[in-house]
Amino acid sequence: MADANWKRGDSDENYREITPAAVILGVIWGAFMAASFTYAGMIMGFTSGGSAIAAIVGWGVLRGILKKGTIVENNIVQTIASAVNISVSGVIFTIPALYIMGLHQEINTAYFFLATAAGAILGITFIIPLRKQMIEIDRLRFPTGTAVATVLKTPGSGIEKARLLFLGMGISALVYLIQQFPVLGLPEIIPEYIDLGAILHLPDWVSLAMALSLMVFGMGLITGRNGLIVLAGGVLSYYIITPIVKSLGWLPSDVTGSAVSDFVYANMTRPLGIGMLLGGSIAGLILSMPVIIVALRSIANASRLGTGRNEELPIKYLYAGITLAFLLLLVTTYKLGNLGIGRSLLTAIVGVAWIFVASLLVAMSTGMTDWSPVSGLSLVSVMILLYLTGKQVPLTILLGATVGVAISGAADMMQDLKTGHLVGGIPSRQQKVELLTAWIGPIIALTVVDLIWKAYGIGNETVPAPQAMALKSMVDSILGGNVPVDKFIAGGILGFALSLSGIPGLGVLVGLSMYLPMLYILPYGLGCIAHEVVKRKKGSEFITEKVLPVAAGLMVGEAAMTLLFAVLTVAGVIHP
Amino acid sequence: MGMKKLAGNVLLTAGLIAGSIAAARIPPMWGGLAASLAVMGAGIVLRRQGAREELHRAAESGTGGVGELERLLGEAIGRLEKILDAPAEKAHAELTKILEELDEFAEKAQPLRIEGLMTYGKIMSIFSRGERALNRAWSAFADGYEKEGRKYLRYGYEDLKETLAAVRAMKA
Repeated sequence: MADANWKRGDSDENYREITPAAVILGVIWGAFMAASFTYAGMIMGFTSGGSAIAAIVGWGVLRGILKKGTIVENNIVQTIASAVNISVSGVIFTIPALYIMGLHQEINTAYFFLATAAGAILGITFIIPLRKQMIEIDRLRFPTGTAVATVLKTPGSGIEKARLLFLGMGISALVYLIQQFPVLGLPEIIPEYIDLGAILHLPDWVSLAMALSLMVFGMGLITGRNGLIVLAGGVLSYYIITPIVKSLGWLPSDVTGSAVSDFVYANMTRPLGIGMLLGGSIAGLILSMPVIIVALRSIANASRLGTGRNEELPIKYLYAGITLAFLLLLVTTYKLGNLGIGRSLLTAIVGVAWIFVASLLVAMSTGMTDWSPVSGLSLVSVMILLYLTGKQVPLTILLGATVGVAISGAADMMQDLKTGHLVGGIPSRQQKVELLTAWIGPIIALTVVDLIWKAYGIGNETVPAPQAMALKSMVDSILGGNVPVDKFIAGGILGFALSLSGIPGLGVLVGLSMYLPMLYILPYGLGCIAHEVVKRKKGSEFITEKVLPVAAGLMVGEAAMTLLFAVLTVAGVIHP
Repeated sequence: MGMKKLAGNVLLTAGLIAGSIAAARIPPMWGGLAASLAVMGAGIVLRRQGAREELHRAAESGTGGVGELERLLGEAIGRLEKILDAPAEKAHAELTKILEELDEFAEKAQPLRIEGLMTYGKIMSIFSRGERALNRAWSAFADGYEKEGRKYLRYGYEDLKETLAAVRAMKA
């Protein structure tokens, strides 16, 4: 990544951090990723954060082409690029559903931009006090943020760490590429998952398939101990609850064979898990209140002192961001919903409060495990919003997009701030560039969605938009009164109780394990086990020096390939 | 692990399993869930008491608690003093090791939550500010910006001294 002609900094020069090169590169690369992932996401159903790829591109341009560039400057590049790109998931999960239902013309384009921009701003401003709590006080791991920091620090870490990083990247990228051979018209050599249950001749209803994803294994390898709770929760969900529920005869008689596991997951454990996530995070919020107060006081004091070393974004940004986003939500609800001022006010207040709770939840989940339960939270968001808006579907989906953009932005911002902490970036600088550029992403994603609609339509064989279709069924299901509210409440009580145990975030971790499919829990859990075994045998230093660079490489290699396949899809080379 | 904490963990796990099964039924068995919550509650009380006793035992034996944190910080501060004016490359190499060792402080400080979240929050807030400053110094040295590196090396050093004072105040 480093270049032989790169000019080292001079002792008297100002340390390069926010520079025009960093901002322009971050915006351009972020816009490129946003457009590619919007298109690919609507066809293939996946998106990616892109921080790690942006960091690699940053090195290529800052040092390879411009012959200058520092670690913290590249931190700004990846912060901006991922901020611009991340809103894609919030948009493509929601807005295409309006097109599929033929309701998009009921909303003026300006409102699309206003509402999603409000989401982008809220997601970032809520992170201001949470940064201190989760990164500095709770010291959550944030595996992606840690992996990106490893990439950023590689040029200064010595040849051995760089070699390990590239080794991990190479293996992971190669395995992913070979797995995609059928998409490229070549024979399958490595499948995307293996069914261990079938190999071991276990009954059909035992779900023991494992995704062969080195990226997920790498996430576990970085996470370590916290991830073992997710693995234990997965075992509880799939190998204790499922057989007991089956043996007690609590399943409909027509549910047999492999459908048992799917039924229990969809109707029992997944809604329970969503409830636990919510209950656990609300308990976590209450228990963390003293720490959040310390964090807020410290930010407020730093703002007032006006010393030369003020590295926190002043608290007024938090108040201004919340006020602005609240007003945008209020205007949108009042103008579009014809709900009257009282109900519009209530919707805006509940909307802002819900975004705070949901942002806290995704930040905690990604901080502890790297998993982000966005689809589950969207279900709850849509449920709350449909009730608040008097079941007005277009307004609900638009506000759902606001929530989606906000929570995905919050999780991404926290990952970037973790990276910043590990490389010594100044948090207020990262937050400012993110506030200034995050609104660009929704505009790009919305524009691409509209272009795709005009060119191919949405919700057909060419552009299946799987996530939006899922949202449409969710809305239909809620409108039909088919929401497992009792499971949410029961799960919420259990999650709340677990978080009182003294093990930080236990309710959220167990909830997450019930929410995630076993397909991914298994490789992730294996990574966590490997981390703990190596740590006990070789010590913490070995983890930092050897394991971390390899794990970061495993994550980055597969992520780079997903971007490549997204671009190949956009270019029409492949069409799965 | 002490007996109390172990018993707490067993009750918590048993309550969780039973509660999850009761809640999984369509519709949930609310009575079963309530009974399971009572078991979980007993487990939580025992677990928290056990954890507090464990922390005090570790402090008395010198393997954890405030005394151990004081020692770790003192060592890091001593090593930082030696590199404040050392050549940049030596400072950079030594910083790599110091930063890895500071992770141990952060890990061993976690149980202090039980003694009071406000105090724990204050200590970790100052410590983390110092750690970030040292991370910045590391990056600046690696990039060849020695002036920035030295400035943040000193900031980190001052912050660790402030952390040590906060830890000592807790002991008092």
